Amino acid sequence: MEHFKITEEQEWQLFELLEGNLTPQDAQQLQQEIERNPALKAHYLEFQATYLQPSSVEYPNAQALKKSSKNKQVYFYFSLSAAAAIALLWVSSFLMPTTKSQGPASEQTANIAKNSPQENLEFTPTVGYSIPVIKNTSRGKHSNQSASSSTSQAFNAAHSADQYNTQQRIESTTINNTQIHPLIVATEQNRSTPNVNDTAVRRNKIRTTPESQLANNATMTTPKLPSQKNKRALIQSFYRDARAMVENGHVPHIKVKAVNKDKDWMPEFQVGLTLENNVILTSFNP
Amino acid sequence: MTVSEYNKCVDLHSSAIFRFALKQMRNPDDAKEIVQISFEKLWMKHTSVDINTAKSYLFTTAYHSMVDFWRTEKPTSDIQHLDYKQHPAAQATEFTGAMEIIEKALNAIAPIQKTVILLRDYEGHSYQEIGEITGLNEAQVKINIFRGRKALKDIIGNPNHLI
Repeated sequence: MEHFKITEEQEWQLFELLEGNLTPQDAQQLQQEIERNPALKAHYLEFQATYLQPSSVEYPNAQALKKSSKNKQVYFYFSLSAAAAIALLWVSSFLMPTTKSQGPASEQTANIAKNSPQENLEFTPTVGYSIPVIKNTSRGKHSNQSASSSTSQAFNAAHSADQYNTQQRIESTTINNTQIHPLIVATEQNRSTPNVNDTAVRRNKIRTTPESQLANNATMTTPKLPSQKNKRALIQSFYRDARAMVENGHVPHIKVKAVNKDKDWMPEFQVGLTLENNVILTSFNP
Repeated sequence: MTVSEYNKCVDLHSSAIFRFALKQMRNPDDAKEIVQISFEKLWMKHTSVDINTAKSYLFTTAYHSMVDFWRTEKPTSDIQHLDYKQHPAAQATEFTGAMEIIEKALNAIAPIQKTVILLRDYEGHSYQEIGEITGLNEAQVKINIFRGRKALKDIIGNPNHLI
């Protein structure tokens, strides 16, 4: 082969010809050159031999790689159920009118507020989520007051919020004084423990002895949620929280979030209940 | 990409990925593993990968998986005791004469040159597609193909290079 040596440029031309990168005119001209030059033809044939022929090997387990579309229905049904839950809560919020500035209870509390206005309050509820919550940026000595007096002050200040809007942020101010929605009545028997946020309980207590009720609330501890394994209890508590929010005039936001996406092709979902300001109240994993 | 489109990709590209991996790995079991890894990654990203780009995605994933495999595997693995010739899939690739020399020559050239030649000849990828798979630009792909073919040509012209 030594007497058949060609230059690297000629090799490149042969390569371009075999790759099909030359114009028809250049390709024809080079073909004629190859026919005339035996050395070039020998190299051309060797280059041609380097082109591999496609193999007919098949992958044996192709069926095992395929996915069933059955799992997609789970997604679909779960999305439907989530959408139905959101729609139900929205409808409930519209069906139950809230009375933020009307009704005997609000008038009563407004009078109390006028008689004893307080400033620089800080109160953290110990029971449930529907007790009026007042957050203040300045943390003072009032946080060390007794539970009953703090509760009373918070309750009063909550209903005289127009006087303290510049300093205080009131998240929940009103007490529902209307009839209980039939949906809530229908599910009343499912509740295993008395709910301190229940509209009827709170209305009756406040009408008779509101301060004593608030004092009782302050002394009560937050009921512990059942363990994660008891999903029925979790869902019930989730529903109670949503109902308490609706009763207090909030618009509950349900957030369905997919978690652990990377672990499995079917991610788990976490359903969370939040206030308007994205404060997460509760969540559970269905 | 929907589930049916993913399944269509399995039908269309699983064998091509397997052939590509088998030529590179020279072991059917390793090649199967590469195929499974590639399609597993495709399924994990099937919502964001379009069916038109699935082939390129699969080959890219397979190539990177093989590179990772070569990096983790010791170069002194028992290549002497490979039994891939007993595999029915490998038996179809048995050649005699010049083709056998080419098959051996393929294993003697640089891995990147072998990769681009396999992608070019077996699957008919363009320079651009090969560049996307291997992370090279088109000029680098072309020059690697040329150098690979030239190396193969030299071996074919003088098979003693294999000894």
